[in-house]
Amino acid sequence: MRKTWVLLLTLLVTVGLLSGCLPGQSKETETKDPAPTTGQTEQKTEGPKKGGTFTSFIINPTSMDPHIYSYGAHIHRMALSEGLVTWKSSKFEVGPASAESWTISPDKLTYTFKLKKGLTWSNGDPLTAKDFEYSLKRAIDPKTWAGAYASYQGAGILNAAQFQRGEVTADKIGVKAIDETTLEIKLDKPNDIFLMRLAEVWGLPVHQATVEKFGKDWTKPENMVTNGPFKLKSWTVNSEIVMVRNDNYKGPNPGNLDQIKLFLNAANILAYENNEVDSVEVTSADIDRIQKNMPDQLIATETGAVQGFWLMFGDNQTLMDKRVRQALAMSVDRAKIAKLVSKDTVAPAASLFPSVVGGDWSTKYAYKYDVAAAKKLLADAGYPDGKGLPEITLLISYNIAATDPFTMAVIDEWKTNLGVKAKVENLEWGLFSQKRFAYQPADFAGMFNFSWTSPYPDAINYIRGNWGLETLWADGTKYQGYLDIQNDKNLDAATKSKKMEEYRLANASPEGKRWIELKAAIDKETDPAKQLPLYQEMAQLRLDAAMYIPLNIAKSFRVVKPHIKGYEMNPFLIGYPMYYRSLYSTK
Amino acid sequence: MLRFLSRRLGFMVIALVFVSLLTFILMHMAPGNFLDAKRISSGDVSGDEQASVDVIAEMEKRYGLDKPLYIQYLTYMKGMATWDMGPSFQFPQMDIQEIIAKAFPVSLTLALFSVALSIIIAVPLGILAAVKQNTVWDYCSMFLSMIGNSIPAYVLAVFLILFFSLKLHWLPTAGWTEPKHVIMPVLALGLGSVGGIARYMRTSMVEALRQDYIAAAWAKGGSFTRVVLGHALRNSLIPLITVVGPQLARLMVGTVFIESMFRVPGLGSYFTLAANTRDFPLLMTSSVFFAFVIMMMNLVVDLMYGFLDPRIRFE
Repeated sequence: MRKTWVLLLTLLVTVGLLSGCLPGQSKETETKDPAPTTGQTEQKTEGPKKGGTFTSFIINPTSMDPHIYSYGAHIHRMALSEGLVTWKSSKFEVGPASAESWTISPDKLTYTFKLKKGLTWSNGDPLTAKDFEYSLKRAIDPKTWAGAYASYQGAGILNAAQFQRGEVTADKIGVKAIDETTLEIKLDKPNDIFLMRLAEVWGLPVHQATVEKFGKDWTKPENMVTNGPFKLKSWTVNSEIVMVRNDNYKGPNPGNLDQIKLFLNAANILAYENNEVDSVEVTSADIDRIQKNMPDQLIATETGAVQGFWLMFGDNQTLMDKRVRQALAMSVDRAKIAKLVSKDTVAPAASLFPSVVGGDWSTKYAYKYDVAAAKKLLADAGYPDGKGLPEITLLISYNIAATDPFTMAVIDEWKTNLGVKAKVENLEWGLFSQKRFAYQPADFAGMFNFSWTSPYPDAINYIRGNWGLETLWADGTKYQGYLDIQNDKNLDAATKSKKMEEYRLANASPEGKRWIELKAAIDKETDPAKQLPLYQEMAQLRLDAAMYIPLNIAKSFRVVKPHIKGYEMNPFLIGYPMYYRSLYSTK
Repeated sequence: MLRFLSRRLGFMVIALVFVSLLTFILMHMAPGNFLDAKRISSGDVSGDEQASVDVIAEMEKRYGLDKPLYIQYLTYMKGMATWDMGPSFQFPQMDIQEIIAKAFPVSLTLALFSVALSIIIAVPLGILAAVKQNTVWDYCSMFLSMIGNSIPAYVLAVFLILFFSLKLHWLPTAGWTEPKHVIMPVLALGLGSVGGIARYMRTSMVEALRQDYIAAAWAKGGSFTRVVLGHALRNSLIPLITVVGPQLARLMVGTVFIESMFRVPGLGSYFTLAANTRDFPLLMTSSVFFAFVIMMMNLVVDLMYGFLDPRIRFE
């Protein structure tokens, strides 16, 4: 009897003690700074009001280092850190940030940045050109984590690629602090979008002393030193991030808010309706209701993410005839499907260039909806009205179930317009990621689903960044030899790359070979004006080859509370704000 | 007792080695790997073939994935034995022991509160049903517990959010920074298991009340408190503990749905993330840790048997 009560009591005491572990009571990760005192809310001047809080969601960051790829790097760019230059709007024009001015040499190879005087870090230390030299070299260094994922790749800093391959030492990299406020960056060849690229996460500075003192723990809120308009107050992993105004910020782009609170999981429209957050992404399931109930709070943008299907290789040669692929690409009325089936939650894409890259790329290099021409192509290929064509498999991963009605409508169009049968194979992504690049058996003719966005609006990156033709094989069986080299454990990385390159050159289709030639010609050409026609030829070549069939472009929908102003969506980052500094609250 | 303990702990070590081996083998047989996942999420599916090959080689070297499998396995095991597993793939700046040290107390809090809640409701309910067997009390309490038992926690969670957040505006829909954030996840997890526990309680109580010594106690003129809550309750706790122990262990290692719905930074979210991204070190550690917690809980349950029933001796 007594023992039973002892047992129950023990249980109760344990529970009581554990309330010490209750949320909100363990504040170890918070800095001890008092609440910011700059919130002068009674400003009568024009322009954004100071003060207030913005609460929203963000994709869960797995690191808070600007040079390691995760949403943490984007949080740095949007709030915590500031590079030499910044984007002025969602059009990505370049404006001054830590650098107040810059000059470009006549040969377009040397950029000299003048830093604004008196800049400081959040701990009060002076911010100098040396900090930028250290940081840029850190971002490029593959040892920081994995250089390529830190978004630097291809920006073209002198000797950066050679350094990454271990051919030269860090002091040969074309980044040099001339004095306290002057930084010189040399490129290996002219790059018209270099300044726009420099505003990406790899161009953000980190505080050398902090990084060296704390190692990987420098990203903990109590250690972190940054130079942006906001600083990290707390980071509860998998739960929330709180940022407050950085009173030591002396740059040209100060923020307006006192506090930014970002929840890292369970993004939910209910939290918005319960007034817990000021903005949230709207999924296609909620669009109708939101459009009816709060149309004035809904904002939307077309993004840079193009979705479609990607040719798979193997024994089956059906889809190796490009006329079949062209017929598939031309027989889908994307505009109709986007409107009627997807109810405008996606935009139609007949081109691999999204319209947000600007120029006429997205209209010039696009498939025409022409059923008669498609039927003729299919008949010419030996499959009149789809007769004799095996069923085509469209490989998707269940993560993208949201766009599935679109795919089903495409299958229906193929059947009605061409008499082509197709089916969906939906796989768990692990299986998907393995199968999509595997060598396929004779009874499999198919394509896999892709979705990709460039992180910045640049048509060239939609040619060089993805969807190349160098692996469009002359015939599907050539693919096996390529995989054999790729999976050969006995080759070191350099030999492997060289062998893969040789194999591509020897076994690619005529379009693939031309693609490789054009790429090499562009790499030799230093004048951007002379590169342009070559890129245009590549775009035309890719359209004609139809190895990738574009279908739609993702749209981002968000609701934003009426008292929050200055929200400008980033079309290349699923509708997050360009920068948190532009937000302000009228409450 | 000591011999019993050392034998049990010895078996536990062997079992844990088997669990780790099995996890390791299954992990390497599963399609896809972390680097592919990373390539998908960073959009780098084709890009510059050259860069991809270089980067993958660099990453494999960094994570020791270029070493023979048995070396990789032994490295993990050494890490686990010394409680220094190194960084997770997914969270490159956090060591795995740090992740567990942060997330386990969260899951533990949630588990203990919700089990305590369900015991506090279920035990009286079960006793009531047993004592008033085959009366309206019995039917009502068993009907209620049946309902509780058949509503999954995540469905209950949605109702709780709709009611407490959107209707009454008493509680935030999710979070884990203030004490009030605990209420809904605990209710969702706790209420769901009331039914099961109450039914066990009822059955074992009915069983206990039929025993001769209970009849003797009644005959001696024992009060309700003394007979039912004293003699019968204590003897009917053994089946209850058998159920509650493993349930507590299951909740302690994280609850996937409830954690993700209420933004609770517990172990469950890390485990699913580890499985989804093929984060090998985190996946290995979490499986072994899961097994360890379950085994420890079973050991505790066995020890409690002896505490509750002096006839049970550990030899």
